[in-house]
Amino acid sequence: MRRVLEILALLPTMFLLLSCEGNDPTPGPGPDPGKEDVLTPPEEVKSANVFVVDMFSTLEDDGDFFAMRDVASATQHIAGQSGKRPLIYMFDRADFKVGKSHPLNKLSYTANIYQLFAQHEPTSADVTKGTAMATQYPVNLYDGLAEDGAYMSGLKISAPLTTTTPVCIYTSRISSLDQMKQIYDAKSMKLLNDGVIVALVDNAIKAEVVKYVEQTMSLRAATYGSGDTKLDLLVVVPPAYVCRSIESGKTANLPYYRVSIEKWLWE
Amino acid sequence: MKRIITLISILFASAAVMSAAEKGDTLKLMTYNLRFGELASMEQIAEYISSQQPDIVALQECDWATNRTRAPHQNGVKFVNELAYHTGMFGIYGKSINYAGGYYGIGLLSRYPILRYERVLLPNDGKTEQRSMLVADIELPDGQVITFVNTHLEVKTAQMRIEQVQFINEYLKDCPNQLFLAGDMNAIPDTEEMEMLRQGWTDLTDRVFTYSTSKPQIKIDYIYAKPAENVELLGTAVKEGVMLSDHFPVISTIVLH
Repeated sequence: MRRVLEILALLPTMFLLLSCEGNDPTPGPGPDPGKEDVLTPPEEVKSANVFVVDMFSTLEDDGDFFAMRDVASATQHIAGQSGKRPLIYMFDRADFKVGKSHPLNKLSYTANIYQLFAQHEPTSADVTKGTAMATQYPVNLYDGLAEDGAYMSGLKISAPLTTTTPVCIYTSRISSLDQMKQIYDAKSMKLLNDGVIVALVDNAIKAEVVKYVEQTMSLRAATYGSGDTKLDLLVVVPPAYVCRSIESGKTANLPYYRVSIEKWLWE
Repeated sequence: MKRIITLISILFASAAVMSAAEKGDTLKLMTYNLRFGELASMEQIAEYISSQQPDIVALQECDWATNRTRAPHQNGVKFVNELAYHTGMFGIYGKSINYAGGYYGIGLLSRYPILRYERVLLPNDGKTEQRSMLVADIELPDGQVITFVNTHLEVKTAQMRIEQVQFINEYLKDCPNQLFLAGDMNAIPDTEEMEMLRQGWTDLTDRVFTYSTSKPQIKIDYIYAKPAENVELLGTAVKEGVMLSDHFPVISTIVLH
């Protein structure tokens, strides 16, 4: 009888402990694939919670984006934005040669915008391939990964949504499933919470990367590509976010893709 | 005869540098307080930096689109953007405070891509100006990643600087990379806070005065390394005569083994 009373006395404590587990800010392993309906975003888009990223690319692995294009057109594109301005402009590729001024430097100088370089490969004594990222927001954290051939870099920005929301927007060039696995191993917590990837993926491995992102990483993936290009655009977002659209556009001779992402689930 | 001796000396010095360079990465590190660009344009400062061909430059007193009455020619200028453009280096910026319609803080230029960085606010008692440090990971062409830290410590109170030095040491204690710490420490070498820094850090500079350019009387600009075992100091110099700021630039050339 005494033991039963002890157990009964412990029950409220156990209940409290279990309740606390549910409030643990540390994210769990992600949504249960069998309970996807719980995390299905509504069809209605709340535009106040949408942010935009512009990725300039030919979706071909055809060298430096600005080798045959004028930086001035990119400057005009940035200056001409009104309304919901992109949080980040990305330019792929923007190859860097040690000791030579990068077109990106000219862009940041002429557009009066902050620029950063996300390398795709080990630093070379000659040319390092990468993606340029430019933003008008202050960047206090530039996160990066360089492990066994997997490179990914991202800017942490306070996105002006209904509530100012910190979000880290990464970019990368995914050319193998192993790279995606390394990214997940290193950044899974980040990607489940507030990490968004806007990357380019080799067309040939797109399907298996998307499958891995959705099934193993428990994240949402969206892609854009005609199938005729070597690369596709890959957008990976945490469960609380959704990629609402990817639209192609062109400023002068600069092709770009406008990615609209909504944070739909708030704690 | 004198010319022959000079020639032989140059040959020996060159051979020493080449020999050291063959063993590892030769890096030229610079620290330079710009005094919010009051005394020179960014083009002039960039021209000087380019002439020295540094690999990494720690910059202090950098404005971001301010409107200062004391430096009207710099109104609206984002220092790091202009310096990166004119030097052809990568530039990053760390805001310390809002100031005159823009930001005031520190910056960093690098010849090599910056893998990641963080602007970290240093301890502040609420009575003094907020200070910060930029912690940047840079991958060198041989694949080695170094962590380069740029800071500008409190100017008014030694106690605050001591707390800031303690914070920096604590913050970096688990860093797995070769570390460099450069900046304007606002303290002369024989002070408690600089003594603290020398425990664990190796000073890569000499005792030549760095401030002020018009009347050099104190040394407050430093470049440190930790650990020291892998770092071979080839030379260090305070660039006296460079009058683009109220500080002289300081340059140390090292080999990283």
